[in-house]
Amino acid sequence: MLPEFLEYGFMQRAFAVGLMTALICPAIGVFLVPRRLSLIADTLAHVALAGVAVGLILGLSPVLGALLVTAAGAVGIERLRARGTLQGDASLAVFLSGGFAVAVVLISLSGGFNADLFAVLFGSIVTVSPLDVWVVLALGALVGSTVALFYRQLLAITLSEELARTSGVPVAALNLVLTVLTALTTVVTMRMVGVLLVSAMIVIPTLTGFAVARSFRLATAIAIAAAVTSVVVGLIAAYYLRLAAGGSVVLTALAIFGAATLARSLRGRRPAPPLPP
Amino acid sequence: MSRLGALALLATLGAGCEPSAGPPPPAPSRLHVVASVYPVYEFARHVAGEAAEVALLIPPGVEPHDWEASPKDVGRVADARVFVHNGAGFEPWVDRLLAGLGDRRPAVVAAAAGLELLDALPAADPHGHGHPPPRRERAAGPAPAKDPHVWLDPVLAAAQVEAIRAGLAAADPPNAARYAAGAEAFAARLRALHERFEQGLASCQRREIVVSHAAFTYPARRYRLTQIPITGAAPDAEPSPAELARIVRVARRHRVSVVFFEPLVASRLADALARELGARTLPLNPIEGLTREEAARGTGYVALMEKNLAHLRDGLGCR
Repeated sequence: MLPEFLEYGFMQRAFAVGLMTALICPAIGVFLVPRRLSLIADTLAHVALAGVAVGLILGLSPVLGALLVTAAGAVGIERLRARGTLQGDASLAVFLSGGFAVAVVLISLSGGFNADLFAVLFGSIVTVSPLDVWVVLALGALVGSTVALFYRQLLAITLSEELARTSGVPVAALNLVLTVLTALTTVVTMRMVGVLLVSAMIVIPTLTGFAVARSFRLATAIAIAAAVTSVVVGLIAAYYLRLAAGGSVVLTALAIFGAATLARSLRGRRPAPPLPP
Repeated sequence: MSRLGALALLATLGAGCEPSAGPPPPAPSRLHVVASVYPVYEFARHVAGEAAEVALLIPPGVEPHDWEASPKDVGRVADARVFVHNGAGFEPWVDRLLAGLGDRRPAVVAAAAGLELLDALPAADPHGHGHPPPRRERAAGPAPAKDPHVWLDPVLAAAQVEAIRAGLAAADPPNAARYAAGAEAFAARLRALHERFEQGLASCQRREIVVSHAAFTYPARRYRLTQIPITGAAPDAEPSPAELARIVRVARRHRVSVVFFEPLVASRLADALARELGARTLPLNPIEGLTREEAARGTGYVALMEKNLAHLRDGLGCR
């Protein structure tokens, strides 16, 4: 017997999309947060908004437009960062505001905001279509398998790019792969929590993992568990309390993070270093 | 001669033409009317005929709930002799705009003024099983509590036409007879339209219409239909999952097989609900504005209402 909130097809699809999001966001986040790239997802989300606008104007699917433009933006950010033309956060700032400006101009060209754009900004779980689910599952499988395949190398780069380079890891190529994976993750996550909250899903569960775990692998596992819990609790709360789903999920993730930090300080442990050995 | 001097001369010449002493001007400047939204624009055009010139403020293809007046639009209203709007809270920007005009206010006709307004149904169970009406708010402020879409009932539309006729006649008494003739000709078409709705919806298998927003209160009352709106009075507020689930239950109980969507609003929500119900979607036009294509083709209110009737008959299984 299904609980009431799973009787409806749209809630089943919301959970499918949400759980896939919860699996891949921390899996990417653990490689971003320690390198001070926490805001890259937020940046790519703003670039994705421009992609959505392109999609709407050209009559393409907004997800397709977002995928193409966001992947291109990701490559651009990584190029600027790798060449040292701009410091890491400066290139993020350029792309964040630039992407948003392009989006705003394109939206004004297309005749103004409409319900579609609100759904992109704040997420919309009640209108997830079966096609959306398949796209999200496919992208999620791609992100997950790539991370699993290159886990050791990505970990090495995260610990120290220099060290990884000297030990023969193809740093530049893998950085590019990671950035494109971040772009895919952003587009997937956007469907559920909206552009404005994407980076929360990537960063907050990851911080929870690093707050309590001693090893990188354990931190990843805890981060995924925290994200899955946030999605399940957030969606159920949204259903019964009539709340916005994206915000509920993120607030749950924040509550878990708060609890984890509190638990750590109660145990009197030193704050974990940003990179647990 | 300086440019300023030339202007002054022109102005004097212009002023000299004003008094009725000279021969009557060959083409007296026609009454200039600006209408806020499409329905009252079309009604005003039928009343005006050739006697007055009617312009539409909100361009085709724009959802009127989303529109804001630009400084140029304010100027257009200021230059008009008569400003016709629907009223009843449909154009929340009107009061602000008129207040900003100061003394240059045109005569104002609120076409829905004096009509008895009904509450916009909150997205609630039509049988009232004790659910408190969900609170709905838009980013721009609280949604109007009354349904302003009076023009969707042809009988009330005729009352709006009469209000517009009175307004134009008061502003331009010499042409009052022409306005009366225009109004009566259009009122006759509205009466015929009402007849067709009465007959077309007389015997149907279902009387529940699932619509994307609560815009059909008046035709629903006139033709004994029950409106089940997915969102409240504003088309862009998205229902929470629990609200959508409740609408699914209500629609299933009534064996709804068609979800109506609005041509000017993205049909994502209607599609989602139709998917959940295994239902079809059909357009049902609240005629708040025309698409660019409809404007280019010259489609009008009566033709759009007849299309609505055809889709209602199809969706409700009417004989």
